[in-house]
Amino acid sequence: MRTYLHKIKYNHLVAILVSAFILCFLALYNRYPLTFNHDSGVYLENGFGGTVAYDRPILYGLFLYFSSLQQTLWFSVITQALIVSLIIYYYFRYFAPASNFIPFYLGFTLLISFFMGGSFNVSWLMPDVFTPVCVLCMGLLLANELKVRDNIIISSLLVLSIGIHNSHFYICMGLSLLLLIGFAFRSILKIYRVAGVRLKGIAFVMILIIAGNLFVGAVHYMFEGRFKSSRGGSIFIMSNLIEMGIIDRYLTESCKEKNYELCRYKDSLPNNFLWAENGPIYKTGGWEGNEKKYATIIKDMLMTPKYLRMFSYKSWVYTCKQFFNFDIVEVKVPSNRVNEAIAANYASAESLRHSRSKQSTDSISFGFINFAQNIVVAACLVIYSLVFIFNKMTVRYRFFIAFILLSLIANAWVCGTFSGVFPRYQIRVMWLLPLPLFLYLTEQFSQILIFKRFGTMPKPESVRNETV
Amino acid sequence: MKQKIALVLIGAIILCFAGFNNKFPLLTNDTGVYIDSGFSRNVPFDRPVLYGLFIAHTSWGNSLWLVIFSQALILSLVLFYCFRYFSSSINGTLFFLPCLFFIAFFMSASVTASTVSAAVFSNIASLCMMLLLFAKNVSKRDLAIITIVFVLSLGMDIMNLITTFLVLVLYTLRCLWTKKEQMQDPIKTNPKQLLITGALLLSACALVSLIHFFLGAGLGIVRENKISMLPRLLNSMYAINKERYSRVSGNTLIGLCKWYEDEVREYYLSRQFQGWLSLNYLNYCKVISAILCLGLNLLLLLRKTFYRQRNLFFYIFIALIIQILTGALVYGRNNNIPGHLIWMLPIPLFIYLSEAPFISKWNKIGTNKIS
Repeated sequence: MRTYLHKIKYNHLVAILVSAFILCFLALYNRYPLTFNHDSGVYLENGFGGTVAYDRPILYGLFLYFSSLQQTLWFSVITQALIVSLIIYYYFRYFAPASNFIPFYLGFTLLISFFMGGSFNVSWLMPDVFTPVCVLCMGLLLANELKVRDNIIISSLLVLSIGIHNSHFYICMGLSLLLLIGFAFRSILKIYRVAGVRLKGIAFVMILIIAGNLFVGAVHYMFEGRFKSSRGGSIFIMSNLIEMGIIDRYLTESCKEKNYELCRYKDSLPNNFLWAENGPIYKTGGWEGNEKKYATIIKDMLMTPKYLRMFSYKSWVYTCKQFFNFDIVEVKVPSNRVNEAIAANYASAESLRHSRSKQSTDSISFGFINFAQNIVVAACLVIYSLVFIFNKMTVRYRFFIAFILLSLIANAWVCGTFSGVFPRYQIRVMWLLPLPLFLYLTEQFSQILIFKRFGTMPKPESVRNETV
Repeated sequence: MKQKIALVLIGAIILCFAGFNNKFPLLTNDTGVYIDSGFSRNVPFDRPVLYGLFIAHTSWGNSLWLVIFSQALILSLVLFYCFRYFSSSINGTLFFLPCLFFIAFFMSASVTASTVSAAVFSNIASLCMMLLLFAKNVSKRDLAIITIVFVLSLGMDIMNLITTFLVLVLYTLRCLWTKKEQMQDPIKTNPKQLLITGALLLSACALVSLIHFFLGAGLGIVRENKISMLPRLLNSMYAINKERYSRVSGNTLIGLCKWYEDEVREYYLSRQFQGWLSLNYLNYCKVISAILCLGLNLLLLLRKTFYRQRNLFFYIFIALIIQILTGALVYGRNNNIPGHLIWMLPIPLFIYLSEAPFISKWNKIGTNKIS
């Protein structure tokens, strides 16, 4: 018996490793981890220099610093792949407790790697890979009785991933609050009961989310002497309000009465407000100098019903836009800042490998993955719509589908409304969509196997729970 | 009822996919003319004003997003009616969403619905006509909706009037020449339905003429009746190609800046304006899907078992051919395949699938309600 269990454990370990290898597919295809614009360079600079940039947390920089062992960024990609692979494994293990889930687990990894953005996120040196990690960790902690060891691993990953990007805190906290509100409704409470969601679980997740925020604040304090987790929020919102076209109208009307510094630039606000070197931000005190001023303008604007209405409408449109913008389009030839950061912090061989990558030679294209992903996403959305409209699958799975959809919407809302519509924000989570379907298929398949072996059809665990 | 509303709404959102993905409704070189005519109430010299008015009203003078959502909603509703009235299965509407998924992501339905152009109303008019000609036992409410939508969509573009007229003539001739006992198809048209459709066609002409008259442009469907205007009109409306969706002309930009000032920044950030909009894979997929659909329809027709939806397929095929012929006659060899219409080919197939026996098993699979 012990040998049998050891064999199973060994098989599972191999499956996790194989899955991680598959997830690295795009980095392998590119011959080097993918990088993004200046950002990957900024993270490397922050991590190696120990500096906290105003517009982003330092944690992902430190992650790159430690996970690469200061040797090669391939180690970072492998670490990211192992984390994602492990979390997905946990889902199959806890949601579909049959021992034969490995083919489905690997099948799911293949689907998200070759036909969706899973491999892209893992192979990219950006903190975006931790967004699905925190969503998945939340899901695991909410609805499952985990082993102590697994609980510690998942909780630690949740705390880490919350602090790694400014948006994660808001996405996860928003999601938790939404779930919390559900307790006020009797019909939703019934669903929670069947799905195994408890108030204690949500409270625990919320504590971890706050802990993640405090953790990044503490790290910033260590490096900079200031205890602050996320900064630059009002600058990001201001930039998006300009894109929405609301600020133009607001300034035209209010500059007659109020003397904002931004009024001087009301006729020349650039679309690329955040990064325009000659734009109003850099002319009037930079990010730090403008945060409070912009916060005042935004507050005043949103307190006016007319603009609040405009903002609400635009927020709805931008959420839809962000939800459906999930293709890989932001992979261009790496900027000098990335090249310099790699050259400055790693051995020369690493720079050489980087310069020979397909991305560096501008010979990588994602047209097929983008098209395939459109089809997979649409198919999942249609299937889930039919599941909800015609009341199919078990309540537990319906709850899980709703959870995944809500997390995608929360991500689209937070990013689309407060930062801007960029495909990279949604591609990071879009590959979660087929997961409930795969878990359901795994459970159904294991039932069929049992039926063939023993001649009786057992009720799946989720259905058994429902009848209690 | 709630289920049906949810299906139609989800369908509309799916049809808006191309717009959301572009970050702004897709525009063409003609969009500016329509926008301007709708707000200024000046009838354009080469096309009816109705689509301009539709833009002005559905956008609430505020946002072009509302225009494409309205278009998508109407299209979704009409398509839903097709499944409701042409599928004999009680689970017929189950295949409505998969069909929408197919025509939106494998063909050009989503691109057509997300474009601020009257082209989408050619589809809507064709589908409404299909319902008016072939559907039986249509409820009064649905008939009223279909009639209104049909008349309005006919008036959006003179091409819709011409195509409808020619299709109607063809079916009238068929009806006259075919003996009663020979017409045994369960989905078939009859003289009464032909008469109603003809009357609605005349009403559409009258409506457009009257609107033009009240706007001071004289009694007529178009101001300039010269046939030389048609080629430009056809070319600008029917091709789903790269040129059409590359950066739009100055007219459209002026129209946008003048009437939708708040949305200009949004347009500048769209993929279409940035030159990132790529429809290559979709075009490729569309061609393959169209060939496959034709092949499957032919296979079903050649089979010994009865293909209930064959008349629907013939109708769509004929409407498509008429569009191509009209375009070829007027514009010569440069006429593009009417990509906005070709996505209707799979509809009869999906209706056929909705009647397949395996669908009845769907209801038995894992339905779970909490008691």
